[in-house]
Amino acid sequence: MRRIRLLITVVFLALIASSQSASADTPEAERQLVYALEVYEGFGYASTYAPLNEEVIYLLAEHENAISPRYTMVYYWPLTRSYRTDWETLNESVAGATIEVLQGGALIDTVEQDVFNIEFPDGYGSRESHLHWDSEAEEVLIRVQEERSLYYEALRAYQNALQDYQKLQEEYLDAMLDETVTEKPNAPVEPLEPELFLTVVTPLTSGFKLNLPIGNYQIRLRDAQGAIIPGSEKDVVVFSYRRTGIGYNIIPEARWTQPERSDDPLETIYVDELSNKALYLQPFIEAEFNEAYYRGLLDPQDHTGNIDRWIWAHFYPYSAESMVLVDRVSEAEILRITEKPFKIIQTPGPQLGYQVVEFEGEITSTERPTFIGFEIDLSQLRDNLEFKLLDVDGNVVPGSEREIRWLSRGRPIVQYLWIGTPVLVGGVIILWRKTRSEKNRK
Amino acid sequence: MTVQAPSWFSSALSIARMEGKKILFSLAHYLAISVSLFVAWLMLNSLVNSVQRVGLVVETNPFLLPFFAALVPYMIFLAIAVALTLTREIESRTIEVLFYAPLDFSSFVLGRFLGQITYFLIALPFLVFFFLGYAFQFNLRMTAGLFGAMILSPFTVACVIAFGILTASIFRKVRMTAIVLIIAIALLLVVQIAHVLLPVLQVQEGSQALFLFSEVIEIGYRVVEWISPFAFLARGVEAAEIGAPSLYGLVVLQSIIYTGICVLISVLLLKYRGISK
Repeated sequence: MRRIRLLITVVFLALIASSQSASADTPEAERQLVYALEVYEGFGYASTYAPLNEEVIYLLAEHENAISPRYTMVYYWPLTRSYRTDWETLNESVAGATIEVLQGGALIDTVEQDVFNIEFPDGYGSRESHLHWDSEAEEVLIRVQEERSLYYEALRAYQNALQDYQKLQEEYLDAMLDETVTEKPNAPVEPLEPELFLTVVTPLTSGFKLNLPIGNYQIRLRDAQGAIIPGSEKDVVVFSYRRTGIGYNIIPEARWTQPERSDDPLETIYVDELSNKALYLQPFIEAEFNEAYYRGLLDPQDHTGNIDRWIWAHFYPYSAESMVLVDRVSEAEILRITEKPFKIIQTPGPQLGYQVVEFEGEITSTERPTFIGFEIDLSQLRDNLEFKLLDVDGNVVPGSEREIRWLSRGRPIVQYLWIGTPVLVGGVIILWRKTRSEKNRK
Repeated sequence: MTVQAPSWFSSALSIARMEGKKILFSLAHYLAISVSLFVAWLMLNSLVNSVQRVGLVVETNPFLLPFFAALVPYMIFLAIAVALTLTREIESRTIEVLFYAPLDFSSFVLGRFLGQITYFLIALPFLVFFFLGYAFQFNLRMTAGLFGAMILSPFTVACVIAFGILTASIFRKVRMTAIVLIIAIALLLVVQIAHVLLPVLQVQEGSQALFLFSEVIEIGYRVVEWISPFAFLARGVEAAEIGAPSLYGLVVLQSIIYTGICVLISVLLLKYRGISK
């Protein structure tokens, strides 16, 4: 017994010591061949990398991806338990190499190096992005530069016009206030600010284009002399979604700052008849992926995903033509609604609260809606219902169906019957047996 | 011409009938069902309360977890009960008396196995009645996943009982069998639950111990998913939920094969190691 206790204490202390020493390590960098990746994640491109120790790269099927093998300095960062790259110290491309794609050990494709860039229409940080290759990439680079130049020109012209406007405005006000001026001038027209130009494009980079169907592959780099580059062999898992659908951001009227999410079309929305007057629904496009694969796609060093679990990846808002509410029993259409803008108005006075009202009027820099969504007025409805989105042609958008159920507030005594039934039935059976055996004895 | 069942099968059925009668007229068993339903009721009530409290809850299958909560203790109870009965008979050598009757090892093991299944089959209608009643009363939606779980449950229970019989045939001593069985079932459940919960919990930065534990669980789960009946059940329910009949059928087949292998090995072990050794 004492030995076991001693063993447990030693193991426990060793674990603590290992965790403490890990956080005190000074990272030592080493030169490594790393695959810099621009992977398609369903809506845009995500930048990530696979260091030497990661054997698998994950890609989405039937989409172009850019794979860029590079020599860089790599160090282990114990806090995140991952390998980090130091691109500033070393960022050297593997010149003259080709990528070989193998499946089941057989060579199926050889890909030559090319140049690519990524365009972000809404600026860096936005998810929407486009991958361009070769001459198209060069054209995009030139186009974006030209458009940016035009924007700056327009901005300069606007600033000049604004200065002129301010001068004219002052003159106009002076003239209006000056009683000696009998002929009043017309008010100057404020110049319009040019629309913000957010598009960004990354510099041209060398890489390999990979666009593969679902399956398991291997890749390796072959240098100009025909030899396999050491450390370049990786497994590639190419996967796709299991289901696609429409997800909803559900804003309850009673707590609009704490919306709920409904990802799965099989989900039911349970509501309480007294707690919420209305629900506001914001649809978005989504797809369901294997959790381990999708996490691996976004970061090959992320092993937190489970191979037997599925996650919904949210992409972008879905703009539907209308939403139809249908009675669950009769399947009759109850209501057809459209997306509307809403505004939150704080109610004055000691009573704490707010009101969700429909936003009316023009959207300006100071006046804008708090959110846009489909309003389901719960106070007007009572029976279980289903809602679904309709597209422009009036067809139901697949995966957009959800059911709303009102939970009963009453707690009748009959609910205990469900629990007590086995004892009741058992008691009756035993009593019956006893009576019968007594009868037989007589 | 009438087709007669083989004598070993008739013997097995006699044992099963005897076991079934024992269960049918025991109030303790009905009480156990009610206790399990009470656990499920508590879980369902907490969902209903949270809808009333926050006004909105999004749920795929509100009955699934309560159903598991009611089912798992049953399965464990049945596996332990059959294993202990068997080892007690081996240890006290009362089993030898049984073999003076026209009874062989196969009919004996099969009879015990079918007896335990009968118990679950008596309990299942009460479970169905409870969930249907609750759903109807509180307007909760009965999903394909729940029906899938209900249909699959006898197969899963069969796996667990067969696992209990196998453990008894291997260890043959009451105390050893009980300890091994409890540890094995606990281990299977812990690995499966930890496999689901650990990724949800944000692994603390720098906590090597927790990371190590997650790694161990993941490796363990790769084994558990193939040998644990609870993993079969989870897979089957998911298949029913997403409407994948082929996957669901595969899980049923897996459960049958698993049960068959366990029962067969148990019979062979009892046969070749003998009962009086």
